[in-house]
Amino acid sequence: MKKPVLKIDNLSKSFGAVKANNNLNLNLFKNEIHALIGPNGSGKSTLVKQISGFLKQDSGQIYLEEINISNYSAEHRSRMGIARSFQISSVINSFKVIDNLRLSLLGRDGGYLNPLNNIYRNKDYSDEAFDLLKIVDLTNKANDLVSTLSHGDKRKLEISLALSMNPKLLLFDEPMAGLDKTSSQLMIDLFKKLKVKAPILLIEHDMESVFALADRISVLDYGSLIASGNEKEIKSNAKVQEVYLGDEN
Amino acid sequence: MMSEKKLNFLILIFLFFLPLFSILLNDIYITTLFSKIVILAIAGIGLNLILGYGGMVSFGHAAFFGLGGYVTGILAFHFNNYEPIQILVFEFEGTNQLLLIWIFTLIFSSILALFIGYFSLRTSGVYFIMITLAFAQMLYYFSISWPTYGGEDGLSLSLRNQIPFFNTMDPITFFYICYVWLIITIIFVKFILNSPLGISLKASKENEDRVRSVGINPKKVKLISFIISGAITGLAGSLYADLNRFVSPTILSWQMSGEIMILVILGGMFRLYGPILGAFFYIILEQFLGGITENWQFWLGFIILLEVLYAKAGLISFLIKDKYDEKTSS
Repeated sequence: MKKPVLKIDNLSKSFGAVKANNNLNLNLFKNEIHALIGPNGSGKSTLVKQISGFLKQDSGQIYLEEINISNYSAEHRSRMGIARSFQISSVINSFKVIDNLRLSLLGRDGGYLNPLNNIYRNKDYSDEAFDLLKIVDLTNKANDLVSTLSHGDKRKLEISLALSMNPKLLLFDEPMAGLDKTSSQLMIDLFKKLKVKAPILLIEHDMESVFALADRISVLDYGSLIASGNEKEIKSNAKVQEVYLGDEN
Repeated sequence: MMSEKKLNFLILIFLFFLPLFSILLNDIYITTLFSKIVILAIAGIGLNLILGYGGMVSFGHAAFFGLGGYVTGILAFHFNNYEPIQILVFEFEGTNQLLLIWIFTLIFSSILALFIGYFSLRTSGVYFIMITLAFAQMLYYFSISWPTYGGEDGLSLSLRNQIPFFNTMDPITFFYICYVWLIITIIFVKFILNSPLGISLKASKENEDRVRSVGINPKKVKLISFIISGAITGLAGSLYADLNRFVSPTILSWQMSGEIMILVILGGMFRLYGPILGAFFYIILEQFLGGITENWQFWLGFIILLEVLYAKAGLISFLIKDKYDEKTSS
């Protein structure tokens, strides 16, 4: 039997009386893009936060390659290979683009408490950072301040930061939000290549991109999983039509 | 207007030749004043590491400054009295050797910073300010109520502590001892700022979520930086005690914490040499305004007010070409 890279087991999270996630079960397998869709407030981002360790679950377990990581800190999970992008671009704006990657490579390799080595003179990191920027077509902006980048370029930088972590699992929270057609297509092509390296859990509202990318789609509503399947199954599911897709498809 | 590198070089050269003024004016008091500038600059650089680069507004750095002073004073006191220091069942001899005293100061300041930082860094914002202040005030009141070491009256050192081959009682020699420590501090902090710890600290100041998402624990980064900052400030306190040959609870008070913070803000929080300029102008203003009016603090406050409103990057921003603020401090 195929073993999942990520296994979510009966995960629940409430905020007061609101159940953000309600006994969720979900698997993510190798070479897979698993899209998570649903209306705003259905618990998609809450789930990503719990998987990445930024939010503690009320109950349930999370397994990465069969290791129970439910109680691990966010930074520990990152070092284990759970890489994420944020719903709203979250990068170090006062740094240069390349320094964001240096920071990320440093976090991946540990040794970030070292007070003496000059990080800016580490040629291995510089070379690797440029390789990562090449993947997202940002090499020409390596020395630009992040605060001067466009929204689309910040999105690309976030993807390169996730890739720098030698990921076992990629969590992308609305990576296409606010991107123009060309940048979205670049992301779609990129994600198709990336899934071979690490499976992707993708939260996205742009259904065109979701259907172009996802091997499997799960639909959340009020924190509960209401459907899971391939594009055809999801499109033909009456409940999904009712709560999310509506007349779109 | 000049490049930052050029300005930094000029600041160091200017400081190096400062004692010439006292020789020319034949005024030893001025050398003591210059030494005070250098010592406060060291304390400011220590605070700036966490304040400017780490975003940690510590209002309790007098704790480290004062501890450094008291370690120095207590070791010298026991050396002069030939009485051992008793801690539980253990007994230690006092010393007047500065090299040893500095080592003890660095160790004790680091331990205190570890303790204060461990608890303070569980909070942030205004709570961090309050908790660091509270720790410093605890030490302040403790020192007042400790009669063995002078209580409220403080502790006098009959002579400055010594280094082999140097006459520390000579004001100019002592100035250059402080100057060497300033250079060492600058080099050390410069190393830190370019190191993995430094880049992690600057990133943690701006975006902890991003830092955590790349596997870095921002709390650890801040704690290590806090310890280094405390140790540097402690060392400055040690030099200050020797400069004045006197240590009292005043150097543990919140006013002392405020003084160090003010000179950092005055000089420029986001640059390594900012606190040096800040210390220079703070002392000069104190002397100059103090000579004109008794209410010199009022005018100093007015100047700081203007600066905070119109030049957040500090005095250093008026002297260099490239304008910067915390948004471009990497």
